[in-house]
Amino acid sequence: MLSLDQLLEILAECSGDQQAAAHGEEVLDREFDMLGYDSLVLLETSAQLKHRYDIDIPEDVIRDLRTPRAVLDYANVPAERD
Amino acid sequence: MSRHIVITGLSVLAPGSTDTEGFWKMITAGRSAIRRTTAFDPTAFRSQAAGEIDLDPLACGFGHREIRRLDRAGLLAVTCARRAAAEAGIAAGTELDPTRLGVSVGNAVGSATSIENEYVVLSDEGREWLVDQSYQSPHLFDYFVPGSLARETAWAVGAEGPVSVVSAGCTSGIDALGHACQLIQEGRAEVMVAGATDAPVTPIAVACFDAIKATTRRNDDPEHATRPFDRTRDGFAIAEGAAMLVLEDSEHARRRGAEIYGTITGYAAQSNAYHMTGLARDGNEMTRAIGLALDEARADPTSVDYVNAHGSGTKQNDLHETEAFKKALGDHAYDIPVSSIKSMIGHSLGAIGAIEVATCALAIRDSVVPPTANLHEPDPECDLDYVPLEARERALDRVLTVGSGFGGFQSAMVLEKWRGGRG
Amino acid sequence: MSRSASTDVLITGLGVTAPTGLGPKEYWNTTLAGGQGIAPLQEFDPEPYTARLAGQITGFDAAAHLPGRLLPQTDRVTRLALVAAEQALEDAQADIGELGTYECGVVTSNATGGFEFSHREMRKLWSQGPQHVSVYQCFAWFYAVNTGQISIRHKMRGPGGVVVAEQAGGLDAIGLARRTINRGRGRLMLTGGVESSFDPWGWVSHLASGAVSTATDPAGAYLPFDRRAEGYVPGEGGAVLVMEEADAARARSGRAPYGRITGHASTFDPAPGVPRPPGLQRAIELALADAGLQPDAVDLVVADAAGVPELDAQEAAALRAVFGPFGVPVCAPKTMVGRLMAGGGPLDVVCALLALRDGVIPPAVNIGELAEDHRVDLVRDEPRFGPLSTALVLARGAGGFNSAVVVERPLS
Repeated sequence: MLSLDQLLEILAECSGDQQAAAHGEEVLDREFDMLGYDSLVLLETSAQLKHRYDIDIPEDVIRDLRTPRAVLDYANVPAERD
Repeated sequence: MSRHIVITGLSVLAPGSTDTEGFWKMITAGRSAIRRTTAFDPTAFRSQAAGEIDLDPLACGFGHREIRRLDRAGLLAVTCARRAAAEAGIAAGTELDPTRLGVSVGNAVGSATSIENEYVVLSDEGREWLVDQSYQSPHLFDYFVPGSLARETAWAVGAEGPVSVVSAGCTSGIDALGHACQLIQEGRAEVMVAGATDAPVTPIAVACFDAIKATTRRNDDPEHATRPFDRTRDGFAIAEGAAMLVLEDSEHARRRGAEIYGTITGYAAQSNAYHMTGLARDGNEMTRAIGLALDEARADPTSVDYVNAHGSGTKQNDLHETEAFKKALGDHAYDIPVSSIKSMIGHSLGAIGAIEVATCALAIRDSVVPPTANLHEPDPECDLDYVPLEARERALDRVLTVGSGFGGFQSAMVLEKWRGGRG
Repeated sequence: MSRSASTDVLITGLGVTAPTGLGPKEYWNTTLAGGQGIAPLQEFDPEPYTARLAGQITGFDAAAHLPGRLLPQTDRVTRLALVAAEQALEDAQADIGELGTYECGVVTSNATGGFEFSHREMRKLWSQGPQHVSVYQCFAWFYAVNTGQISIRHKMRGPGGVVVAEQAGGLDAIGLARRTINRGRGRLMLTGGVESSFDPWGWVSHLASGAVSTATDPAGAYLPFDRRAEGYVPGEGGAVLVMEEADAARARSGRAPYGRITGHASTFDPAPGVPRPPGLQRAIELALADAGLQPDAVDLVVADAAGVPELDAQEAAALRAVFGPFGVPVCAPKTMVGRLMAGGGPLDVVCALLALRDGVIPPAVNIGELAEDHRVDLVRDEPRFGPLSTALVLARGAGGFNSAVVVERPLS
């Protein structure tokens, strides 16, 4: 299971911006755009999810995941992918 | 008194051919040269298609020492420079005063291939952070600093005037030519050998574009992999290439009776201050660059006969520049051909802008618009005339070429048919 | 395309990241005091390498100067450039919004890119695989990165440019920025150059020039014009300057200008074996002609100061040919910081501007006996005071690049 904290930590590292991480659950449904995470941050985050947790989010999918909750849902319900 | 800048020689080295006429024949036939990468084994990489040149340095006249000293980008630049200089009749040994001859070389990533090759040896394939100096090539410093590319070009043509590399990422080619034009206008040189070179088909460059998903994944069909303005496009194919042009003051060209391809009448470069890799959909800064270049050419937007697009084959780019063309040229944008030769020779980063300027000069010479290859299903959001698949005959008096690059660089250049005698 | 008449171009703001100080004030105080910015490498143990001394910026805490989100995507060189750019804009009290975003542009020089960043990514690529390469590599390593990041951070949508000519490139960037203003394409330009590539891979690449001093004593390693000269010490950092069209600068309520850039020229040496003279003298003469000045108007030359006997002799010969033996005071502030590649020329322009402002020439340090044949009036050991109105700054880049910039006091 990928936790919100784990995801926020990676996002903070990849973006250099700690603010969202400090807000925890409040940001679950905020759009990445609004949180200041651009497409590069999300691509880097998706690479790190793969390297650290072996979570594979295809590039065509990550593009459409717009909130932390969407990423968690995708990462944690692998069966639904098929 | 204002000076007119004319093109009196040019040479292109691009994937799929070994000289200018081969290149021109290929792209006007709408043929793509993109193939599975051969420079290294691409199996582990996301994008495995590339535009590569089958370069035979010995056949190009290089000695073994030069081949060792020069990175591939240098070999390409020097080959083009020698050929362009010979065509223009300014090769070493002619009467041209060397101090009045300058060089301006566009380049985005330096001697990337040689630097990486050296790194692999000195670091023992990445094992050692403290690289081992004892394994270094005697030419490592040349690979380290991109100025060596301008130096080699200057040596090749005997230039002792202003010499530099212009390195504005993927607009470098246009910017190097713009720089050269301005040096001539200011009287700092009479003749400039200017253009660009890049040889980035090397693992680190391929991997970095893989990371941002900017390159094509159509690995099973490389020839049709790069599809600017097509609904099914999925990125560019990385490529190598070079082009060098001989630019001179029209009076100087006239005095020595040089043949003239055309004239460069306008140039502008803008930053978008938006994002290092992203483009705002509004295309405002490219619009502005086009407007300034046309102003400098004292040209009305409706007088443009052809637009050579950046057309890298990413959706972001296609929408961005389509918007810019509409804003800068108004309804006229719908009436003229717009095409991308990257569909055939890929994206050679800093070099491509110069290849595209050369393309414009050849298009003016032959009254032919090269097509956009692989454009079968136009993106409904890209609703201009992108000259799909087949070249068109069309008299071209004034053409526009644009470039767009990481870092937010947006450049535009206007070329025209030379009507000798204009004051 | 047509040429505009030459416009009066002012320098109204300075940003400095140098081994002898962050910010123009600290740099200038240290420089006048003959301070020493050269020391053994600190980031890693240089023991395995043939040379160990460098001009380093110590104690630079990027996080204290820049927003966190710029850190993952930038190499040290870009962080230094961003800090210098911000300093310069603050110093000039320039408000880009007020001046107009399209009226403000950036032209910089850089010769080695984001080298350490690239080193880390190549290491990942070769030791872990291509999927481990950062998304930021695609721009963090290239020579254009500083112009791009500066323009984005300060919302400068005017002309953007990058010129590279090894050590001479920084002056060429200043020349290009001036031309941009002359052509009416911008009212304010940030220009200059910053360099930094002292990770082990960058260090070895520097050493490959073959001219880096192998001395171990910081006071005896880089001795331009000295009879003991035997090489140079690489340095990091540079300077970014705010350049403005004079009328536009006067029209806004900014600070008093430091000075004017009135001339620039660049030339190239003949290819090896071609029996023609080197190009430095020509660059000097062309820059002076560009400024409309005779040699006797020049009060100070900031020398390229190669530190390699043959190159020192060439520079001395060019100075003698233009100014006569011992004909002009020569200043070599690089002796305190090393050679900064693209950063070197712009930092020397800062030195020239401050020298003109304060009427004082900073000393070259560590210099003992000059090689007899040079016959140059090198200011050393102690600063030299006296009114100064015009300075000439020289830079040469490996391979044959020569560049010269003329700096004058502001019109009163």
